[in-house]
Amino acid sequence: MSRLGQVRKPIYPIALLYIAPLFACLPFTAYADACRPGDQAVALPAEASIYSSDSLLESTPSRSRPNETVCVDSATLARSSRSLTENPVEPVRAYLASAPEVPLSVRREYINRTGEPSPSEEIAPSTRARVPASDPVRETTRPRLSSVNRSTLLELDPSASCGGINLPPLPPRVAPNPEHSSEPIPDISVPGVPAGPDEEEPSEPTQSTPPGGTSLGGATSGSIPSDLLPHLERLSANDRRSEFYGSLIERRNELRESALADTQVLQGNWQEAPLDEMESRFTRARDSLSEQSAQVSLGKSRLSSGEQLRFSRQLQSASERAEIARQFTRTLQDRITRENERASLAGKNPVMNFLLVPDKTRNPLSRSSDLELLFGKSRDAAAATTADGLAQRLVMLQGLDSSARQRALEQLQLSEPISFTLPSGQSVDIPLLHNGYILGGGKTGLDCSSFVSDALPADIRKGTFTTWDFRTMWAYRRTGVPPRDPRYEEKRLSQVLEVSKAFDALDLYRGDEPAVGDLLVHRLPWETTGHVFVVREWHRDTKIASVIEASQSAGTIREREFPLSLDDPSRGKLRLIRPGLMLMRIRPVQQRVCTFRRASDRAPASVGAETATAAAAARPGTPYRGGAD
Amino acid sequence: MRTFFWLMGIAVGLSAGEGAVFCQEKSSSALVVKNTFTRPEDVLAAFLNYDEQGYIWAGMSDLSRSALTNWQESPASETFYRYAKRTLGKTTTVSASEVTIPVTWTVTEHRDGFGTQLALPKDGRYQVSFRLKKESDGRWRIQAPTAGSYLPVLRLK
Repeated sequence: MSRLGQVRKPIYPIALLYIAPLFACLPFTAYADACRPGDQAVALPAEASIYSSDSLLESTPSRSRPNETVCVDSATLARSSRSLTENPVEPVRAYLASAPEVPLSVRREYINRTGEPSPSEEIAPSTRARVPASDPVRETTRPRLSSVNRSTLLELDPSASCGGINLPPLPPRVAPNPEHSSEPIPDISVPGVPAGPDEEEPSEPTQSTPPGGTSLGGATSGSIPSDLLPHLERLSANDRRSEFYGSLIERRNELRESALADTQVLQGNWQEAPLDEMESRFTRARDSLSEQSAQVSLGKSRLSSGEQLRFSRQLQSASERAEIARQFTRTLQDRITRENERASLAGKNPVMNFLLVPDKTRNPLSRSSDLELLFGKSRDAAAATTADGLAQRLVMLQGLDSSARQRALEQLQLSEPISFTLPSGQSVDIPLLHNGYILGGGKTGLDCSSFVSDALPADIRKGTFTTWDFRTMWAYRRTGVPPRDPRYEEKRLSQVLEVSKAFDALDLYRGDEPAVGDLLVHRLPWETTGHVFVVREWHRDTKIASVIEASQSAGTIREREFPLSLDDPSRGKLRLIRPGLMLMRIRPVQQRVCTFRRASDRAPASVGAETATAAAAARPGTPYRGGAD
Repeated sequence: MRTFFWLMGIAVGLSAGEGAVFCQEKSSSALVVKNTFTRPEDVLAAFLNYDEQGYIWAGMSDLSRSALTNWQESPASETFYRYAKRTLGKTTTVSASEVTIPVTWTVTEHRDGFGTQLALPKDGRYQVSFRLKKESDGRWRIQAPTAGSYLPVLRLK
């Protein structure tokens, strides 16, 4: 890069910092009339960032987004400042505790769950609101505005039921009584509770929304206090993401336990092996692994060519490890022989015979310092899911004779039998050991997408996706138009676009922040690598996200810290988000008897219902209807 | 005659210097257990040899990672290049304990684990400037690029 280029590069971001606020007012003027009468349209300028989200949509036609404007009524705005320091969960708890019509199970569930704020509750900010940097209460206001906004724009359909639990008709208005929240709640039978699953689909409410509250149409005549609705909605959304995240953690733990169990099974087969037999076992492992590597590389199977290549390389790497281990074992044997001869000549006992009997507290393969370097010292296979752990298992398995190998294979959990058709026409079955990652899944493994998609709610679980696919989904959700690159087959594109409806596409460069269970996709159109993480924790101050991922290269599930900013930490809040990040949040699912809808999403008199439905489906926070939209 | 011996001496010296790298590349085993290299070029050659076997893309061994690099984690790249030709540039000494060596590959394929073909660089060249640092144990290790930014380059087959 030229010297001039190095000097010029920082000028653009600085210029953008000055220019960006000038354009920020445009959405305000353009969409100020999108709000309901009486609401105030608050256009919130983008935070100063040199990385516009539009840069991610390099090949995508840019389109304005009306819903960037936040509509807030005056009462809500007043309440928002008052509730800054309040616990958002408390009003819900208080309400549920004081509403005798609510079944005990529901009330207990909410009260138990909200007894202490979940991580997501603490870190989950609102997703859409953007507040001017000059706002003195910016940091605290930001998480509220969107929720408060929703409180004025949401409606609850009749016969509300969340998470599959039927709620009875709610009272007209119950004043929250915090004192009741700590008292034991009597189990009250509720007459006239709707049948729930067998209930008819709720129809469009016909009555008007009462001021300051939300309507409950259909069979109910009461209203839920409007200030509770955003909290209920957040709890519902957080529950869905927490469930998703919990599933991921469960999968990861299962995987580690399986890898550890496999390692112990194989180590048991090597525990009693004398040193002289180890050399022959390493030789057998080397030859067998090398042969299998060639067969996997050349054969045809149900695996993709890239995945075959990966397994082939793993087998070859293990073969090399077996050869090095054989050499180390040979060296050790020679050394023992020399020492024993010397001891014999001196009339002493053999000094290194203890090495021939492996210590049961140690790794049976690590009988010298060299072998220890290769296979590790401890029997504890904490690193069982690493590449080294896998190589060790491969060497141990293929070093066994055929009968012992078959017995061991029957006990292994992370072993995928794959049939390969060789160029000669011969078919061979090769048990591929793995660390849990198999592209395409298989019977015993999972891949990056299946790791995520298996844990997704059933209504979204429709296929496997690359980071390109996730980027396409994100771009489609942001713009309504699929990007031109990459060029998909028609069937694949329709699948990707269909599944994209299950996500909200959030924009980190416009103030949105990650929450637990969000998909964090890192992919730049002009770069070659990408990845998808699931957020497990978000540190706002440091802009570091703790993530969990299924890594193809690592071959397993791992957790790590992923800094969202590449700037120096000393810059504090001025640190800018790194380019290429897309945040996708699972949309709340639409329950059969529990529907959240924005009042503003309803069709105006002059607009058809279909248009309103499409607009509602495209907005973040709108419940996903399982592909119905 | 003396000139002949001089030339022979120079030729032997040059071939020995190159041979250290060449032998490493032609070694039957790419797996590096210990870093016993004395020259940064040898470390880089061992790394490239390890990479071109596909071992980095398939899951880099912690053993080789700690022996050859200062990376705290293994690379996790979805895609990889295949190359037809590789050129090691001139070693530039930054300081007594730091050198940079540019490497250029003529790449022929860019794909991911699904078998999807991705775009190649316009000029068909992939360039990486490796920065190696001499650590306190006297061994050279790769400092840059970072694990997250390195894209594996496999040998064409």
